[in-house]
Amino acid sequence: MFYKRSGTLTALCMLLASPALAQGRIPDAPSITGIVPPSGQRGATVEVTLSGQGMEGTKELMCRYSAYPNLIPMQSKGLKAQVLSANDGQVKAKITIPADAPAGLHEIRALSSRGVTTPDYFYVSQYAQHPEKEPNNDVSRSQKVTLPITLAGVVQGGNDRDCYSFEAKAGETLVFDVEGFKRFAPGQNDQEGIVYLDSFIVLMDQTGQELAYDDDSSRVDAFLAYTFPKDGTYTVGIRDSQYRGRGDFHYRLTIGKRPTITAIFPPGGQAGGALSTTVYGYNLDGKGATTMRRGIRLPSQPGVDEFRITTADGISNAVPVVAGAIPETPEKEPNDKATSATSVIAPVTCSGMFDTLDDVDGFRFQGQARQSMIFEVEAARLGSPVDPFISVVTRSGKVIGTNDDAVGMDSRLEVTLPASEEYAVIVRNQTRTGFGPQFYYRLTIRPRKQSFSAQLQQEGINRLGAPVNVNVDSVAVEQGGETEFDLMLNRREGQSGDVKVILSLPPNIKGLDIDQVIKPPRMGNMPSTMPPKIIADPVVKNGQNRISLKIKAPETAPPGNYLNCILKLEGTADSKPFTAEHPFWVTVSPK
Amino acid sequence: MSKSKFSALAACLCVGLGATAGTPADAAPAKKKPAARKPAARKSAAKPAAKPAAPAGAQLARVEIVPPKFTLSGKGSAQRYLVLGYYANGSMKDLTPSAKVTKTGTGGVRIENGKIVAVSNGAATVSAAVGGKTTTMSVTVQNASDPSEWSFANEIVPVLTKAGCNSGGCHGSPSGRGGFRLSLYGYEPDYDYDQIVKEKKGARLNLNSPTGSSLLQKPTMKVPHGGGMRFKEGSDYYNRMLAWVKAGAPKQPEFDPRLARIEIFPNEWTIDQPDQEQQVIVIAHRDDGTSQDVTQYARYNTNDDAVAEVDDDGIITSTGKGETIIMVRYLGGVGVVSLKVPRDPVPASTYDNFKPVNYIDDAVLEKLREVRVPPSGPASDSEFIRRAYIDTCGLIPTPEEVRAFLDSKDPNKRAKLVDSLLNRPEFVQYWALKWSDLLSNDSDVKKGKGNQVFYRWIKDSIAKNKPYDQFARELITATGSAYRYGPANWYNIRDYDALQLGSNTSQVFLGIRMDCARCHNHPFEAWSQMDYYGLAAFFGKTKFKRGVDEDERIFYAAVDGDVKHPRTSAVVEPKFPAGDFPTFGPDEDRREKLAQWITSPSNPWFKRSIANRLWNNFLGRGIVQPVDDFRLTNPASNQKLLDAMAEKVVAYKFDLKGVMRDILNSRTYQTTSVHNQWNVNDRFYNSRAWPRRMYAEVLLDAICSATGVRDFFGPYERAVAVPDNRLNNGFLDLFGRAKRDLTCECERTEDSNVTMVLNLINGPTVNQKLGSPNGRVMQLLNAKKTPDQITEELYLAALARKPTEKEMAAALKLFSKAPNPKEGAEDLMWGLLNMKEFLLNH
Repeated sequence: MFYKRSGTLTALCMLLASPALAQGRIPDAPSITGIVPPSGQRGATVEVTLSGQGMEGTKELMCRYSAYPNLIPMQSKGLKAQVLSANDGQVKAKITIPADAPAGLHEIRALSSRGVTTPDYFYVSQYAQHPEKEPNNDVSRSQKVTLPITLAGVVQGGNDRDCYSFEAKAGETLVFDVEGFKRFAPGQNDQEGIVYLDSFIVLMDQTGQELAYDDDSSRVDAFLAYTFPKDGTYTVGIRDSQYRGRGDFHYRLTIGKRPTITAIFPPGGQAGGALSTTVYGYNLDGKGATTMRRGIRLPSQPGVDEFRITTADGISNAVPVVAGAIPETPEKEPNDKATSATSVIAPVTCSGMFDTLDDVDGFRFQGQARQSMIFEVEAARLGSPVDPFISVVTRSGKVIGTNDDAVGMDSRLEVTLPASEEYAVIVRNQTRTGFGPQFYYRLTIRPRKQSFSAQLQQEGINRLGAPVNVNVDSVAVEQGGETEFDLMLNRREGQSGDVKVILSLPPNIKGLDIDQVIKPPRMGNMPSTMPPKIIADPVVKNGQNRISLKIKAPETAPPGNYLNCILKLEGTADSKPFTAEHPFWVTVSPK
Repeated sequence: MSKSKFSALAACLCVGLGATAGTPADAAPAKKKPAARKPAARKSAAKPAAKPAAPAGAQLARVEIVPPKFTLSGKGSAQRYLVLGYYANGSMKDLTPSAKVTKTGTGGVRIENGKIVAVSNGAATVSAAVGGKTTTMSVTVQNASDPSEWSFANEIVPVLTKAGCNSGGCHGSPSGRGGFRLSLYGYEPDYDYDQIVKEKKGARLNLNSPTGSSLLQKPTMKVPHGGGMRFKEGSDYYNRMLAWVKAGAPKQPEFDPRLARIEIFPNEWTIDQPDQEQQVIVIAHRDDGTSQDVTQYARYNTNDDAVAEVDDDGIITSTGKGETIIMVRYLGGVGVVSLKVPRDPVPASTYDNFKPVNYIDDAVLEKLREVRVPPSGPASDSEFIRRAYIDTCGLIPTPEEVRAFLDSKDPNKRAKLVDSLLNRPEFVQYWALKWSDLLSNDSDVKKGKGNQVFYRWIKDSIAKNKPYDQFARELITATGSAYRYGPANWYNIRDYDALQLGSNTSQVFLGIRMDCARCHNHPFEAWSQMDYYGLAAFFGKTKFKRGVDEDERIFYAAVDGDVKHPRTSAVVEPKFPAGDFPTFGPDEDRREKLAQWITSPSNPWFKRSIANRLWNNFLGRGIVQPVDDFRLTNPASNQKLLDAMAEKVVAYKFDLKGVMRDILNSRTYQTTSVHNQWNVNDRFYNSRAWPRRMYAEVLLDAICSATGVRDFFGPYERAVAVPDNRLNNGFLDLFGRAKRDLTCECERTEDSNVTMVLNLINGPTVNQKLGSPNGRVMQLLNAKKTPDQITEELYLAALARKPTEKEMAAALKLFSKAPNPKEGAEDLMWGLLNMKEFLLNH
């Protein structure tokens, strides 16, 4: 019997690699393009070489981790780096991995004198790592390994397949989990000609007979859980799914009885509460449980947290658990029609799952005339393979709004209710690719709530070389110089009015300042010859969403990387003062 | 006209839509018979047939007057009749001219020129007597004094069609001709009425002086007409048109009855000798229950003019022995007359060597007796093993496998071989290739991972022996990413649209080519535009969006999306072909019901289509050919066989291996390709195996197998196992691997050409393998085998048989004259690989 993890990580990774994020790159910006070796085991110290550009003067590496970077902020997990040498194109460093560091891809950036580099990724394994030994292309020449293990290999070319043989016992469920190295680097992936390993694994018996295979259960990475019917020697082969290969098609294949979570349901609850949830997966205890009940104390502040379990065989992968800001209600089947819909009181977040391929879930609530309501489904962004589609209908069955994809593949709909009456929200899985506890979602029904946030951008190029605005999280400025960047104000749910932008600096740096730059309008294709207007106190005026800023550094500003800078945004939301903070990094480079 | 010519005509009729110059053949009325064959006495049914006499020695068993029962409605309405004689030997003759026809009863009819004509209301019985036999028909007359109301659609459009005015090469072309455009074949009478009566401010008609109407003056060449004379002044066609104009060119009654079906008498005609005639009667039945004799306005075509010809009046003349059909078309109705002229009798003992094993053989033997084509003898073990390997697994057997099979004394060794072949991994590879072709798994369209993912799913389905109905359902209802879920690639087509999806689905799963009905009702089958757009409407809500990767498409059932009729822009509701309009729940994916309907055991097309495809694979020709062109006018060569296999497909719960096993174990399949004196040209009835060229991939693998040298197929084992149809390989291109542009098995051809021959004689594929240090020749030489041992081994490897004594002697002579054994062996192998016996699956 074999299983596939049909998407706990898939949809999440799809979101991460979505085109919206793959905006392009800034050609001369400091960046890391490779880490060799790209992995290490917990508790080990690994000497690595980073290649890239703009890395001169690097004295420190920033090592951070998040299992779900889009949901949970990156933070330090104890990896320490000692820089041994640095020049423009190469940094050598020693990375010490603590024994309790989470297994997975850790973000590495170099803090160079020219700025904070774009990231690359370093894989931390919980099991011992062994390199592959060629030739190992087929069952007869497979590399014998002892479990649990993480295999460090490279798919060198189109005909390369790496085979590993191991012993398994009857009734034992082993997990085969591939970690590729490109999936968290969408900016690079979108560049023309850059391809990455799209792993494909095949499990075979001693004769080479295929028992199971997987291609994409973990987005471009393969994942398989297999319960062995009898004792014996088995072989797993890994190749590129499109028969490609290259010297940098690295992978790390973990094989063992590692506990693996495929889903938890409900996947969240109200912040500060206790969540009683069912965990689904493999090897959830020493006896190979596939489900278990668990209580989770949710954090008092709304947000997303990682959830893992630990057994004698190791630590599981992480799944997100959500602490919501408003009350929660699970769906109650049968609720396939507007008339049998689960009755809820807004504002509310409803957890639901699709029990059958054709399952449709309905939720009824009492709405008020002229009330602006938000209906939002979180699924893909939480790692669910559901591709939601929502409709809002009146009691008489009139559809007053539908949405398919608003946030990645997740649905979001804003509707002004026409009358005070009961409405139904219908959620369905548009692509109908499966059902069960992994096919979960969270639907939030709430009144509109204004807010804003910011994103910084600089001009770069897309994969075709055309100019494009690229999201940045750091800005570098030379002593006595100035650097321009744009601030994009994301006004949410009807927020309007002026928003002031104020620079807040850490105590160890003084004298930096920001001005607003108002460029005169272009004359056709020609830039204006008029000088730009400089405003000392930047404001995003009502109706605007983007302003240009420049950061200025005095000659006396001490060179260094300043990681605690903040742009404070002050405005109003729902007619009340509202403040948001946008942290960013500033590098002052020597003149 | 041969069958292939007929297919070409079918194509032309559609191609002709775009014709801008010339007058295609179909623009003219149906062709006239050659003068030499046309009996002078038989111009129409009104006159006696030339050869009414009973067949020599046959006894008249019964006579029948047709139609047996009908109603005449309206003043002057008339119905032709035929008196048919059935003889003890199974043949039938037209005895109308010699029959004495009389009437009794209260109703007033008169018998005039072979017709029953209405005189007064009431019921009448018409009797016919001939050869001592009598027969009767019932006639009801109603509204005998009422002049019938004009119906433009039912009375004028047929004239325009019969005269060729609205054909694809004339005014029926999309741009019309000479500024005058009609709908093709009159499928849109409302449009035609407006064109004739209202366009150009009615200038085509002269209601004050009807004979001065250009509508009448042009076809009679009173004024110059680029289309030439279509009918003469004073002809029936002319008179009818004139009367209509005189009546004020009315359109139609408020509720104009439409054609429901046509009925043809006789619809089967079996005779014992050619060179005989038979009049055909065509009756149009309308949806208000009325009927009308439309013999004069129907159009006729023969499928094979070597067996029968047909003239414009519906008189069939048999010209040779064999079987064919006469196609009859009237408005949107299509029907056929099946004609059988058995060959000369053969001794009963000529069938003795054919011992039926199963239902397949029963049906084949019955047909062979019927058409008097005795079967060839059984295939030798060598013939059988080679053929079974190729047809089942797409490979030739190794010398070891051949030797073991030939040496085995097991009486069940063939059945055991069949079972083993059906379970080999090469079986999966071969059928995955076939389905990848048919499902159009083109890596240029299924970009990125699509081609691989689709291939994997197909291969897995075959490996698991997934029931065919489930296989089809999963394809038809597929949703999700084409990069993650194989069957979603069925929807990943070039120039995505619902119409193409409907066409593809119909062609692959039903064996129906419905494309003609995209622009007009199908000319050779009862498929209407409603059927075509109704089928496409099931896919109107199937949409796709982009996935993470640039070429990744995610397919889903949307809540909106309609298919509209291209001319009227009316939304077309989903409709099963020749069936109902299903109803749907609010969130129901329309394709679910379509998939249920298509794969239902009661759907005749689904089970027949797959049975036919399997037969085509193993016997080299479909029972219906082309395999995906099921229509009334393209009949099965053996309907009982097709039906029997179709029912077995259902009985086996769509486990196709069951039917494959039956075919492989049948005596029919295990018949030699060596012909006898009667079946030299038999490709239809399976009296012998018909040699055919191997598929490009199979041939290349066979060369590799025989020479013992692998070709380079990237990471794939052999050519048959390559998922990517665009893997660079000149040999496969030359020998015609499928381009996968179409969902059609017709993409592969069995043709051969000089370039292929030169490639095999002098090309690198064969020659490099012959001289390979790792090849079979070198291995045999290294093993110190003697020339006779080498000869035997090479024969086994290439031809799956041992050499005859004569061949062995010739081979040894070759070795003795060669400068060294290596060259001798290479020359021998080269010769074997260039033999037809190697290149053909026989």
